[in-house]
Amino acid sequence: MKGEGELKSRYIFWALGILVLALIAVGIWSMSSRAYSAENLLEASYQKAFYNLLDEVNTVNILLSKSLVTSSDSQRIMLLTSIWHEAEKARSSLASLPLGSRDMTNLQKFFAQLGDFCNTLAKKVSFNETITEREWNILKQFKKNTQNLNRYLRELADDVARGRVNWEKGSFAQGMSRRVGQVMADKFVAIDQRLKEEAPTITYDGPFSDHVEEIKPKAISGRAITEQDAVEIGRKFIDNPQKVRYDVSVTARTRGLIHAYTLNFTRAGTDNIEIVMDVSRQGGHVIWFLNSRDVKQQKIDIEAAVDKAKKFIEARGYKNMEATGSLRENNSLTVTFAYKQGDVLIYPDFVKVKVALDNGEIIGFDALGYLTNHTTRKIPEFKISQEQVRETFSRRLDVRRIRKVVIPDEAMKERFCYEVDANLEDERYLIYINAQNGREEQVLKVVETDRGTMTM
Amino acid sequence: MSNFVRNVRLGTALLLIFILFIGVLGSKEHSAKEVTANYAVSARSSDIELLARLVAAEAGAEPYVGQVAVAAVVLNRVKSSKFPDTIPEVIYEPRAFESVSNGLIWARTPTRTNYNAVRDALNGWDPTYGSLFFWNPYKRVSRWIWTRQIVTQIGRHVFAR
Repeated sequence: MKGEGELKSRYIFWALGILVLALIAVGIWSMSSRAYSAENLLEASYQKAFYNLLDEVNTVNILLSKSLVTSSDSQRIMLLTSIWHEAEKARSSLASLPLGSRDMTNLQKFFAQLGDFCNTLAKKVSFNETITEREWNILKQFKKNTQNLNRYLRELADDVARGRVNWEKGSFAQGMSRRVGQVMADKFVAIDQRLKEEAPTITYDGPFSDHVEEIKPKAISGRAITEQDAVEIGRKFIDNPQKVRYDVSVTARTRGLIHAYTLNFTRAGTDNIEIVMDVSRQGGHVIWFLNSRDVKQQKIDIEAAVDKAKKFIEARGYKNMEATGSLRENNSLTVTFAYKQGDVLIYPDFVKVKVALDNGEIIGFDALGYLTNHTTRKIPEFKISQEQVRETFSRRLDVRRIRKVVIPDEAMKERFCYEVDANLEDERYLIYINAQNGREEQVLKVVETDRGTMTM
Repeated sequence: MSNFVRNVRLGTALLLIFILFIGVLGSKEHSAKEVTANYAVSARSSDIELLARLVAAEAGAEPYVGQVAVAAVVLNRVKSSKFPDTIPEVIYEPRAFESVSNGLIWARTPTRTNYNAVRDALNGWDPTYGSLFFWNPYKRVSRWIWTRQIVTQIGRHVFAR
């Protein structure tokens, strides 16, 4: 009896054991095969992006040649615009490749500048301006670079087609080592570096021009200050209606556009950083601060908040500032102010102020725009009169206001303009007319939301 | 009899292991489904949502300004010629952000603080002065990244142009 029971139990035990092992085996097999097919899918999408890139570079190459030889201006505008589009597509393809952990900034920048430059050139031609010798040379240089790039990518494509290299390890042929899988990325880095050596730095009137990155701050003056000075300046600058006692200390020295001391304000007796502030090392200007305290239920209205913000910046030496817009988020309001010189509103000289709507305390300030751009402008004579501008628009639009402004163009150069605030039925627009030549510089659509006014 | 009991116990133990294993497999499956569901939601919602997720995953334990800084880096990339043009493209650039690669971006729900940080960054506050890179210097990182010009350190992140 005992022996039979033992036999039975042993039988059950073995049966269960085999079943368990079989199921584990099936589980592992299904998991690895799923991972394997997922890896292949990924590889396929990377390869697709790679072939798209190949295609786009080839197209840019051909379009560039055509734009150099064509004798027709309208044809040239079309070709240059197509190059811009194609270059943007190439940027997108490049961003789909698994190169995020590598330094691939030269290739991205190359396509961005190429597209941007061609777009600027197309605009120039459309305004009947002639292309200068220097611009022709830049275009030729771009063509040379693109030709080389095309060749490097083709060589890589040949290897890919033969199944020699891939993005993910072991996808094409199992048993490939991890090192082989990295070859593709390595080759791209090599191409990126070669392009860096071949492509020159270029300046032109576009947002991606090299000169845009080399802007120097204009409103920083005065002597170098010490850390102790910075703490004093910071303590005096913040808005502190509740008379909170803060411990203030310098925690970093930043080396950005403006070199600064970073101050941390902690509530006395706690470790909680409540306010962080940057004070410029030259001249001791407060560049920005942010108070991260929790803001309670709204108690004051928008108008009162804007007024508080204006008084705050006036008390800190920002005179002649006009509120140009505000945005409400949760229980705080961010107000933008721009400097006014005479009757001209200078948009590049802006400061932002964040007001807590529970007690009207200023919980944020940012003057980087003002400190970077502010200087006294020589305002040129406006060659077009306000009446002329009004006349052009009042036929089609309901003009609400026209005022003189300075706006930055795409290349961060300043333009004196008339700002036409007008309605087309119930939609509001801001149109900028160059005061020197009457050219339309910019059209913005104004979107009024319950949170505030935004432009697009 | 004692032998039978032992065998039954062993059998149950194995069965338990098996059930647990199934459980593990099952939960893997489950989390994979959650990932796709979240993905779909976020694809429909605005860029702010996505950015807040990235901030929560990359800088959730950082001080407030450190969170603003991480959001600002994404926006600086969008503006830069060296990176793609939109917030999703910058965030989903393969291997650009660790939290996107390891799925942490979907594992954490952004807090109100994360959202506030994103909004301050969108409103123009940039504690990094146009930085395009950030990394944790206490972890292993690619060597090339140290060749960038360092702007500042906030919390446990170094920011560089």
